[in-house]
Order: sequence, then C-alpha cells, then structure tokens
Amino acid sequence: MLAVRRLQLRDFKAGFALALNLLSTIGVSSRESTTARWILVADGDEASATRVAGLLLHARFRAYPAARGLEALRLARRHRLGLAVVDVHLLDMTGCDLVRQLRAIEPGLPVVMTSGDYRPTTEVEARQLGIVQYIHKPVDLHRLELVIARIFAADAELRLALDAPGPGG
Amino acid sequence: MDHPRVLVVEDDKDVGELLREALSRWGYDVTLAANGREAVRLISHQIFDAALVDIWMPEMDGLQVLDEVKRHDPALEVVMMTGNPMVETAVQALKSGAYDYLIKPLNLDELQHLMQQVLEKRFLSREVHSLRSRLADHLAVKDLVGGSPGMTRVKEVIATVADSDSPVLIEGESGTGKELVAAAIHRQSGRAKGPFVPVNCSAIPADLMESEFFGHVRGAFSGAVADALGLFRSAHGGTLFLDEVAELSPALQAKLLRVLQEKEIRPVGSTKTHAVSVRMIAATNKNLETVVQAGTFRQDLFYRLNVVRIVVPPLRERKGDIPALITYFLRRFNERFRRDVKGIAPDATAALTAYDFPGNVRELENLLERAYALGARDEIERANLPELAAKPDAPVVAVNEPIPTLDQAERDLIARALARFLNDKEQAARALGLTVRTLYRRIKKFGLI
Repeated sequence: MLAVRRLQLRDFKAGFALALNLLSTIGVSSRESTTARWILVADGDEASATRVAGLLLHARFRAYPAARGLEALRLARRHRLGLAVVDVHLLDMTGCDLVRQLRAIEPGLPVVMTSGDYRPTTEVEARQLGIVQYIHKPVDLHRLELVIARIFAADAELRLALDAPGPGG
Repeated sequence: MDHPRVLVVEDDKDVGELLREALSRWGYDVTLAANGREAVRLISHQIFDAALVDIWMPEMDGLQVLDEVKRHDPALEVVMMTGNPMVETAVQALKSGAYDYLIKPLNLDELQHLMQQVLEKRFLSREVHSLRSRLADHLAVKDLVGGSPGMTRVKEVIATVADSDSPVLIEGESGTGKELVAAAIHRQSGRAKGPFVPVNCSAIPADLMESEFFGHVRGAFSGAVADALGLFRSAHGGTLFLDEVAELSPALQAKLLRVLQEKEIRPVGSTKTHAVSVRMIAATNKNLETVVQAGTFRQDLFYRLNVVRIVVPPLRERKGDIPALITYFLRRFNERFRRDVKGIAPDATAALTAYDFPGNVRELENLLERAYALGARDEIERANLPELAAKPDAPVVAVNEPIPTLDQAERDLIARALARFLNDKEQAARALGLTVRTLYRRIKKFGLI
C-alpha cells in the first residue's frame, strides 16, 4: 500500500512537469473550447497503463488505461480517440490485433506502440500497421510528449482541455 | 418541445447555482440536488436525460450516486465533476459507467460542448460505432474499384510499374485511396512476400524522425534501452510507403536522398551502416512541384521519388464509377451489418451522382455507412442520405500550377517514359517521338543513369 502511494507521488510530480511542458510546447491559448478526444493507454501490465494514463490525466488529457483489448474497444465505441498508446502484449489479445480493430472504428487513428519485447520481428510486425512511433519499455515520456504535441497541435479541433493551468501550475 | 432535463448533484451551493444558471441559459431544465440521498430520491420518481454529479460530497459520495443512477436507469448519462483529479477516482467513475468527467474549476465552454455531446450526438454516433466495431473489420477496402478511363489508367500504370523497383510518387486529394494504390503496387511486385510498411510523415515529430526512420542503437540517447530497427530496416525486402511526404523535415529529406542513392542507412548512435533493400513509394495530397518551388521540398529528392508518377483522380472526375462503388460498398456493409440491402433508389443515386464529393471515395463510404446506421433496409432511399449541397468551399484543384522549365519538363517526360517501358530505350524513344540516339543524348544530358 505504501509502495503504491510513493509511486503515485513521484508520478504526479513528473505529471506536473509533463503538463507544463505540453502547455508550452503546444502554446494553447486559454479558454479554448474543446472537443477533446481521448487517449487510450492499453497495456497488459495494468500498473504500467495506469502510470502513463495518470501522467496524461494530470496533463489534463482525457486518458484511459486498459489492460484488456475488449475494454479498450469499449472505450473506442463510446468516445472518439485521438491517439492510442498500445503495448504489443495485452491480457486478452495482441496489441497488433487491437490496433486493427481500433482502426475499424476510428480509421487513421495515430498509434504509438510500446514493447518490452526487444526482438526485431516484433518491431517489424508492429510497423506494418502504420504507426507513429515504436517505443521500447520503459516508456520514454519525452518521446511520448513530443508525439502528443505533434498530433494534438496539428488539428485545431483537437486542441485539448488545456484551457486551465494544470494542477500546481 | 420539452427541454432536456438535467439533474445537478452538488453540495456546494454556489457552484450549484452557477451550474443552474448556465444550463438554463443553454435551454436545459435543471433540477438541483444538494446531496446524494436527495439525488437518489429524485431519480426514483422522475426521468432525467443527463446528470452532473460532484464526486466529493459528504455522506454519500459521487461514485455511490453514480452506482445508484446506473442501477436505476442504465441509459441515463452521468458526467462526474471533480476538484481533485485522482487517476483512480476518475478511472473508477468511467468503469462504473460515467460518460465523462470534468475537472474543476469548470470551463463552461467545455461543459456546454459536453452536454450537447451527451444529449444530441450520442445516439447516432453510438449506433454507428457499435455497428462498425461489431466485428474486427476483415473487410477493409483492399480493392481499387471502377472502370472509368481515369481508374483504368491508374490500374494500367500499377501493373506496368509494379515489378520494376523504381520509386513511385502518388498524387491525389485526400480520400482518393492513395494507400490502396501503394498497397496494390506492393502486392503485384516481386516484394509481395516482404513487409509493406506505411508511415504518415505528418504525424512524426521532427525531432524523432531520424531514429524512427533509421533506428538507433542501445544507449544512443537516454530512452534508447535496446536496439531499434526503424522504418527502413523494418521494411527491408519490402516496400516503404511514405504518406504525406511533403511534411518531411528538411534534415530528413537530405538523409532520405542519401539512402536512395546509396541504399544503406546508419542507425542513430551507430558507426556501422546497414544495406537496405527497400522500394519507396511516396504520396502527397499536395502538388509536390509547387512545394519544391516554395522551397520547402528538395528538388533533387523530388526527382528521385518522381520516377513514376501516378495521379489518382478525384471522385468528381470519375463519376462513372459511383454505381460500381455503391455496389461494392453495399456488399461489404451487408456482410458487416448483417443486412440485405438490395440496392439504392433512383433518386438517391441521382443525388449522389450530382454531388461533388470533396472527401472523395471515403466520403461516399461514410455516407452509405451512415445510411445503414440510420436503418436502411431493403434499399437505400433518398431520405437515408443527408443534404448533399455542392460545397462552394470544396477544395480547388491547384489552378496556378507552376509551369516547369522546358528542361525540367523534358527530363520529367523522359524519366516517365523510361519507367513506363522498364528502361527499354527503343520503346521509350518511339513513344516520345525521338530517335534512339537523341534519347541517349538526353539521358546523358539529364544524368538519368
């Protein structure tokens, strides 16, 4: 229990930094109306999904962690996704299968693949899906941040719920 | 007409009043509950269209209210409000069926938008989404449909160039199916067994382009925990499809040019180079020549990529294909939605044929899919389609296309002729109306290998 708490605190601190960085990278003006899309974070390692989603949440993105593909698909059916961060390994299906099914719902969905499996064949399979970024775990938040800034700044409609300062900012 | 009814559950009186005022101004009928118990009593004998629930309340907290609401009326949409965005709480709320959550201080624009989303768009979009995803889409569009002169020409060029290994540049508006053309070339080529790796250049941050394309070695930078192949080595033996190629950063353009010339890459942080055998297909919805003239795309790279050019015509220039496309999509949607729509009413066909389709084939596909979602049964009727006014702001095809110099044009034509006839100089010369000797001289002059 204690370990969990400590992890959160540290992550929240990183989250503030991420939020502030994102704000300055994207340069979003305040009070912008939002049709914010969601960021799905799918990873068979639930703690890892929750950690990344937590950081995004603190940067005021709508982020949702899922350890199962079916749960990820439920989210995609309910909300428009703007980005999916998908690990190659999920509890009930492979990350690549999930991406194919997500794209049936949201064609052209930008996808960041994460992987703790460093074999080249895994990367080749993932890249054939047309992904934005392939990241070995542990996830380098700086890379993720750059990808998010690029994707969400590209489209004014996607300019996010970044209209109020992040917690602590 | 009834106003949509919204239940606001909020223990802070000031916030409650503020919400009542805002929501009433937007035309909602608002009922305030100061605590969870009152809220539960209200929902047990009144019907609401949406609820806004504060998470942190004394006695019965928002999550408990949410559970009660969902037990009572699962279709009632609940938006949670929280002043303290704890990940666990937010996630728990969503898992328990909340539609969304808002973080305080509330942004009224965001609230207004969210309420509209909840109350208006939800039903249609949910229907479309659930239908779409009922199955993994094994039926993704794979075929180039249509026998119009424009499409026939595209298919001919694909068949001719597929087996040569030369780079291909595909131009066309968005929604015309440039990736399908690229995939078709790959499938008909000798590389069909190798990987087809598509990449949207506009989505990759400039700072990460180099390591994405060329990979990196372990320790090359702080996050590099293992060797990564990158796009080129992942596509080794196959085809790399660069969509929106005009968006490549200048630094990467220079590096790409070198790869095309030397057929080898060097991963970030490595001293070793790796030979790669990759066929490059690039696509753009811009006129790349204009981009070159504007100075944001390298001319030498343009020439390298533009050995064979395929222009995919917009749908409005091949309206003859609309009936064939409709038949094709109906067959797919019948299978996917398990319906038996047999055809389309004449007035609906007429409306579609008269329309300009700024979004091209993809827009036609979306219109038909929407018709299914709206319940088309025996046939698609005019009423299943939205208003289809020709949009005055439809994308204009580059009117002021730059005029190339004669030399450029000549070089371009010769390169294309050579690619088309697979480097058979006699055939190319005949097609260009030159003697073989003249052709050889020009080839030398322009340095076309």
